[in-house]
Amino acid sequence: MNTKWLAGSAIFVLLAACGDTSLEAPSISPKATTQPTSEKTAGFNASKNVYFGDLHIHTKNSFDAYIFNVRTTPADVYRFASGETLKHPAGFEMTLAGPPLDFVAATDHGAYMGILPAMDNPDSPLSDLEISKKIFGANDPDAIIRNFQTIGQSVRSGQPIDGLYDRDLVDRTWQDAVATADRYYKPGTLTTFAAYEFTAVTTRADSPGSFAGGNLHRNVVFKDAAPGRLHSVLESPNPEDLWDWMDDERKAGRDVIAIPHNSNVSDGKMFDLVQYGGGVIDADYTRQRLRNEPVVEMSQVKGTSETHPALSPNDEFAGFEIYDKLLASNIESKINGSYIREALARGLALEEATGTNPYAFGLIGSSDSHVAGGAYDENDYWSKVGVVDGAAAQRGSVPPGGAKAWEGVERDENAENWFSKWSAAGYAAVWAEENTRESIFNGMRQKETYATSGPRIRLRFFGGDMTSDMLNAADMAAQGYSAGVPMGGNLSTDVAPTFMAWAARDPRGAQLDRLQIIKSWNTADGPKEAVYDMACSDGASPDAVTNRCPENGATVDLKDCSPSTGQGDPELKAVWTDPDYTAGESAAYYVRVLENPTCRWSTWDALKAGTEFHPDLPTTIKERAWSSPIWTASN
Amino acid sequence: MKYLLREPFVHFVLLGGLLFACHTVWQNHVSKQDRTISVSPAEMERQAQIFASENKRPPTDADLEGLLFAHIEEQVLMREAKRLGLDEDDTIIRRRLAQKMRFMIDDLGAPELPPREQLKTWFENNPTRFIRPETRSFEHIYLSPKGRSDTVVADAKTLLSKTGIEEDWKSSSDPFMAGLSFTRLAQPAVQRDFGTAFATALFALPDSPDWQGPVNSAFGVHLIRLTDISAEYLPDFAEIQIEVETVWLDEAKRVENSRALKDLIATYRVEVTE
Repeated sequence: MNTKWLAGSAIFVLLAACGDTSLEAPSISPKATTQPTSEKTAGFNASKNVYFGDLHIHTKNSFDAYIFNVRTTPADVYRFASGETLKHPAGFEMTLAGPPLDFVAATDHGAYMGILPAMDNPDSPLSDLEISKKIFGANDPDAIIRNFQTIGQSVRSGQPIDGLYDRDLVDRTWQDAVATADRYYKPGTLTTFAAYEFTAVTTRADSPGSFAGGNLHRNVVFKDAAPGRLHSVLESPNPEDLWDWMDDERKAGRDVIAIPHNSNVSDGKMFDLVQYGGGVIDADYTRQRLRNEPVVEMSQVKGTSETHPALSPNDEFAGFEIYDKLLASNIESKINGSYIREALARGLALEEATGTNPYAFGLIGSSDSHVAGGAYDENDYWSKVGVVDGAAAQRGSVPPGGAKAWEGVERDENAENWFSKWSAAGYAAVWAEENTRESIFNGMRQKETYATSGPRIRLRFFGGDMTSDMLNAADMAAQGYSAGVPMGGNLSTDVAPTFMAWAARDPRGAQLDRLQIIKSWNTADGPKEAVYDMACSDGASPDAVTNRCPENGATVDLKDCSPSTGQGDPELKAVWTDPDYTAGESAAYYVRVLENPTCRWSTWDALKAGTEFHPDLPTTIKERAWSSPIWTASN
Repeated sequence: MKYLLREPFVHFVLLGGLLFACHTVWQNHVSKQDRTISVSPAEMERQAQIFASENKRPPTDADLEGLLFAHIEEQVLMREAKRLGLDEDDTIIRRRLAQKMRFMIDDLGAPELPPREQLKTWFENNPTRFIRPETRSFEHIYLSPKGRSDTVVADAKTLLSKTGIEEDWKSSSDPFMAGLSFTRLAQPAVQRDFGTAFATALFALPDSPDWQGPVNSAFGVHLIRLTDISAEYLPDFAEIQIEVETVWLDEAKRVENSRALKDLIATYRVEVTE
């Protein structure tokens, strides 16, 4: 038997080698394709340009995309970003409505990357596995989902399914993704990054067996050169082990960052006050986290992670596109520890304890599209998953079964609890000298970034010796840099800090309503926050007592989503000094700019279908952008 | 005996007998083929490997026996089902077969890059994908409507008619987020920074060293001075060879796949019945 066994193994290896010919030729060892050069690309600007991108997009190589009929590839991600048209799995066409993106990354799940397509490929040995037959050779949707969920369980537990986890295939798929990113990188025009998603989820002690858990997902983004093997949750689901691996990568000359996302459904775990395993957060932890995670994704399809109305009762704009169901469940995520504004205060407390603020991160938005292209526009929305949310009725914006009204219809549970609460995609904005890997990656390391909920609003934010005459200087930005620090920076001060903020509308978007500054700090009684309006539209000023602008009266005609005219400004700018500064305090300040109201995607869907609006969904939203904070501390 | 051999009736009987014998032998052979299940060592090893990877241990002899019976059972049931024509109208089988064929077609379409010279010829014959669009460099004076919403256009016209705008033009401008000087922007980039109406107007401005306008944007009113117009051009092949390779591969694969599918479809006649 033994010799036969060996012979059989040889045959099996041969079979495995000739399987999966659908893959493009794998590169043997990924290499850096760009040499640092002193030559500048067109558009270089010492005072920096803002670049808009998306660092969170899945393709058929993700297990939870292929299963929903997604067949688009990483190359398609870069084509879509350049303005080309892709097909949605439901059959319709998707095209970026605005200008091409400046930078983009395909971020397929590292765990089982490329495995599902092979399970469905009759020429691959993986298609012979029982689980493959149960998923791709069955007619019963419930059975398919049940069997598919064993893969989800494996990702959650970090325990690979033997036989199914073909590490060579994962490696080849990853190397191909790296090579594809290199091929589509066009310095000065389109920056691409080699990247993947680290898909960690915690388990809930009180609901054993349920799929619900705390989302600790991160996107791992390489500056330029990338290794031949990725580190997924199947190595270890502990993010701290990921950071160890990233530290090693950096030592090997491959700089890399991890970008957490969907802290809103992390069940309080993303910005916890203890380590992954429950241990006390110490100086090693805080330094390592800060080194590896300088940026957090705050805005995407599965909700906004800025803050929750329960945490911010005095912020009347806090309830923006909130999604708080743990992934693939109907259990609500724990609020404390899940939102960024509170995390900023927690970080200051941890800094006091350990000497380093682990939550001193910058902000970006992205899509998390699973169909190779993000739905950034409310009026051209395709959600994110694939065949299960491609049609309006599936995502709960119009009544199911062709009904025109909601009265008496039975609502679909998934549409009701999940898809209808999701939001059109956000953007990552980075201030950088030029559109290259070097410059944009450095912008993220320096946290000179901001998040938007979809419009390409421009936003500047400086702290330091700012004076109001700078607001009218033609070289306002250059003066801001020389008089202080930009967003993402640290400011030492013994007096009330002064800030300058400047927002300009997206020419394709709505007029701006107001510019706000939000302060988050920590006290002996716990986290504190305050929201101040800095600048109002239509010539108004914030009230000295409430710190609020008067309503500008902008409305939307729900018959066709046209905005009222005459309200709002194309740009807003102000210099502001904290009126409530306490000597010696440390705080994080960030800027939020709000647009006039516009129709939510669900309203557009219903208008196009000629149905009643969903009675429980907001018809309009106030789109926005959030700057990275500036941190202040006394000398 | 000689007589008998000449008798046609005897010939008939003999030939008939031979024919019958041949038919019986042939029939026997055919049904033997149809009713033989041959299991190669390679197939058994394959089954054993799958077993091993799913159970984390090599199969025992008892397991192998079980695998063998399961394989035989599957073969028998499959052949009986085919005999009864059960494969004719089964969605899953149809889908699997179509899927298998599609994979085969897709595999056909992973083409080899042609030699450099040939690629260069293709690039020369297909310039549209590689043409770099016209770019314009310009400076602008931005007048915000803030505080002068009624007079902003008039203010711009006054400024334009003034002499001395050249020396210190920047001080006449309000600060503009994207800057006051732009180098070699194509139309989409101008659209991104200023909006569609402004971009269209800018690219329609006559080539002149003078200040022109006023031109409206999503932000307010602008006076514009063109500093450079670079016509659209086709880069050298050597400069963008990687880009050409990428586009060639994408297109070749797409073309090859759809051609293979179209060729197949062409061998069928499609009738749409009422």
